Amino acid sequence: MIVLAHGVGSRADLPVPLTLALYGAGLAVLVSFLALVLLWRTPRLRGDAAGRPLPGVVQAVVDSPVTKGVLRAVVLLLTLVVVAVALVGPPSPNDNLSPFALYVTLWVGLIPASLLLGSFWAYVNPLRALHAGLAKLTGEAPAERRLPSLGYWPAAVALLVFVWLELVLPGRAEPRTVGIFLVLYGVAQLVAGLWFGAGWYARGDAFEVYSTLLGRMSPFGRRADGQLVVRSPLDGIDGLRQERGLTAVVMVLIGSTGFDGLSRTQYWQAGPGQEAYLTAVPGTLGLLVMIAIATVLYVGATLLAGVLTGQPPRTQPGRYAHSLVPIAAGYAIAHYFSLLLLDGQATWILASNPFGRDGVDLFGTYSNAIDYTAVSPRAIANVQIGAIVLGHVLGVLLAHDRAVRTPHRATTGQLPLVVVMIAFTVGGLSLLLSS
Amino acid sequence: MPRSSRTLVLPAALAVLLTGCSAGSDPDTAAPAAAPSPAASSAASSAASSAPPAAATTAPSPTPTGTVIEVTYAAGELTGVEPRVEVPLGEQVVLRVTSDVVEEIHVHGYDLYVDIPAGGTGEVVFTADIPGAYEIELHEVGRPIFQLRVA
Repeated sequence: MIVLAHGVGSRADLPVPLTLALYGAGLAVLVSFLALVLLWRTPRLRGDAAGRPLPGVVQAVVDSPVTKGVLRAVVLLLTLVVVAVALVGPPSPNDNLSPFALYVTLWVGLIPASLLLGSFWAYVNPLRALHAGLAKLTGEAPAERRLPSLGYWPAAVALLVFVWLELVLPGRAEPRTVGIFLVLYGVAQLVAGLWFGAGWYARGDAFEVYSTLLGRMSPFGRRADGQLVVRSPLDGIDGLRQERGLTAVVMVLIGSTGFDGLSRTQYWQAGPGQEAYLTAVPGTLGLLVMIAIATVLYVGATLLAGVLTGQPPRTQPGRYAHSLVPIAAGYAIAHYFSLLLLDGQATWILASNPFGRDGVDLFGTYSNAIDYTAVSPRAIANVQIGAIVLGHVLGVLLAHDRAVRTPHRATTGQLPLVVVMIAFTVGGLSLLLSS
Repeated sequence: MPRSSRTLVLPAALAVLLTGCSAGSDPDTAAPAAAPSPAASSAASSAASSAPPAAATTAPSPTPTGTVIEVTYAAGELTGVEPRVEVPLGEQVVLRVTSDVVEEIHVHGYDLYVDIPAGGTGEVVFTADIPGAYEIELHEVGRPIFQLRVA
């Protein structure tokens, strides 16, 4: 059932012993915090006010309805092909591109694409293209005014559903499962979109919200005045507005990569997850437990920060939620980049004969096999450590910049969160590498 | 080899130059990313041989005996296998699975499939020449048998 042979990096592939890597990673986070306390005493990040405008030609091309329309049409067409292949293409996961297209090319490919180009899925989102057509028929959205009160909670739910499918459901690799999911997901999103208006997708579509959050780390973004700018990724993330449910979205992302790590450990496979290939029960519990652990640690630390600095504790988790975005990105890269480079090859191989017809070989690649030697296990282990540590260091930096905006006991107030960051770093790495 | 890796990684971690750490800590890893597979597997094999010293002595050609793994699947229970089996790169692996029902052995990564008749035995013989960790499963029921680690 598991088509995906991901997570090739492991303890044996490290250039140093595991404990040394863990100490080094934890120490890197701690040392960065100390350096920040000494050297970064006043806030420097400017959020969406920062950035140098891109040349007028670039802005005109990107903002042109023609460019957007063409790209949306292409992505919509590709999506419809994937859905059709999932529903009526070859029945075996080995011959059908749809599981690879969904779980690897889209879900994992979205990470580098967003980190480079910004919120690109909002730009090409096929649901938005369908919505534009349907909205002409249905007229005004009845509940548009209620959308802001939902914040990011719809996205948190949509992401939870998706990661449950991706990591828990025993039949997740079956093309028909993928096809039915895509149809149900699309219908549910479109109904909600017509009910709440076009703004829904930025708050409720799992893929768009994921891309937009990660895209905040891109060097390209939109300034508060609407100009497309090149800017520091730190300003980009700092510009993320506090909204209800943002913490929940990031917790689902972080907890799910935690569960991905857990589910590959010997402890899980020989213990609680022994029956996970048969039933969704252990996986569902494991996923929820990992999300709960991440949430308790993060929310606990930020509440405590509020108490220590004399600020209203309830607003603190949301105040620092943006600092978790690079951490979620780091975990996502660490867990999935080898999947994109290795198993991701399958999408392109199978695209040469999407419906499995005899003698069809559109691109002459159908007889290729996945080249698992494209990345060495040691290179994978190094990227895993690098991504996780860098993510946490950036997280500490972003949180620090926000903390010093209210100078009263700013350093003391950060201590609980720094401790949690170090725990996340070491815990996340041990889950990944000790499997 | 381990000493030089260590001196490269620790200062890098302290200086928080992580991209430098990932790319530069091991000269072997820089090449394989873009290199064609023969170069990649030889580089990976030299990288792997530095970790467990025993692997360094393994000849690139498969040994005639190799690692033999025998598993029994009866009444829904697997016996005779650990959840992780480690073999050195280039080792010949012989996997025999006896099953009381019709099954199929699937070796991920190497993409091998072998049928097992009901009450019979399926045998897969292959050379472990792709480094990494790969699931081996009973394909019909979708149940993992063990994870093969080639290093």
